[in-house]
Amino acid sequence: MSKELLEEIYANHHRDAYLWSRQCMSNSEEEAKDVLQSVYLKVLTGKAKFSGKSSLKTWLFSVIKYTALDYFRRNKKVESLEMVHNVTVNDNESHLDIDYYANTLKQLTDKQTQVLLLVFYHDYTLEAAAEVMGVSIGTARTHYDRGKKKLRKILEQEKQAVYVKTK
Amino acid sequence: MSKPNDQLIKDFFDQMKEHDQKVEMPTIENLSTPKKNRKGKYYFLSVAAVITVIICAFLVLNNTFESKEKKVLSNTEIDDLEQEIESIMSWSSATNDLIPKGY
Repeated sequence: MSKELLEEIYANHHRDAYLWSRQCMSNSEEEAKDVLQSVYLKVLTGKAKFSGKSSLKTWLFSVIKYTALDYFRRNKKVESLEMVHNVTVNDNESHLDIDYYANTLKQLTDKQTQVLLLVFYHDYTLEAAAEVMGVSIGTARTHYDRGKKKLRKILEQEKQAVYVKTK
Repeated sequence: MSKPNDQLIKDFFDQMKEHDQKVEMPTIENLSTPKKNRKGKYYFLSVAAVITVIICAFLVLNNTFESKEKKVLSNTEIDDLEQEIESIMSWSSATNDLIPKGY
C-alpha cells in the first residue's frame, strides 16, 4: 500500500512536491532534497498515512510543510529579520536573477508567502491552502489579503523604480 | 479566486513558474543518498577522535596501575618497615598491660 502510494506520488506529483519543498526551504536545493527524501521515507514506512479526507496533493504538501518545519527546528536555522528585509532590487536585469523571486517573497511573512504560493503558484483554492498550512480558513484569508497587499506594494515600487531609471 | 487588480501578483507568480521550468528535477535515486553519507566525513573524523582519546586514556591509566603493582621495595625500605612494625607491636603490648583485666 505504502509502496503503491509512493509510486503514485512519484508519477503524478513529484515535480510539484519538489518545487514546494524547495519553496519551504528558502530555495535551497540540497535541503529541499533532504526534506523530500524524509517525506518519501515517511510515506514508505507508513509514518505518514493518507486517510483520503483531502486530495493526495493537498495531503502531500501538508506533510512536506511539516517535515520542512521539523528540519528547520532540528538545524536551528533562523534568519535574522535584518537579513530578510535588507533586500533591494536595483534594475530590470535583477528579474533574471535566480534569487529575485525568493528575495521578493522574503519581504512577506512566512504564512503570507505560503498562502500566496499555494494559491497563485500551485493553483490551490484558499480552503485547500488553509488545510496545507494547518490553519483555519479565516486565518488563511487574513494572511492572503495582507500578503497580496504587501506584495502588490513591493511590485509597484519596483515598477516605479524601473520606470524612473529608464526615463 | 484572483480579482482583476491581482494581475500584477499573478504575473509575478507566472514569471516565477516560467523561471522554475529550468529547475532540474532530482530523480528518486538522487534523493536516496543518505544524509549522513554526504556529511559523513566530519562524522567519521569526530568518532575516530573520540575512540583515539578513549584508547589513549585507557593505556595511560593501565600503565600507571601496572607500575604501582610492580613496585619493588629496597632492602633499606624493608628494614625501615620492620622497625616500624616492631615499635607498633611493643607499644601495643605496653598499653595492653595498663588496661585492667576484664575490659
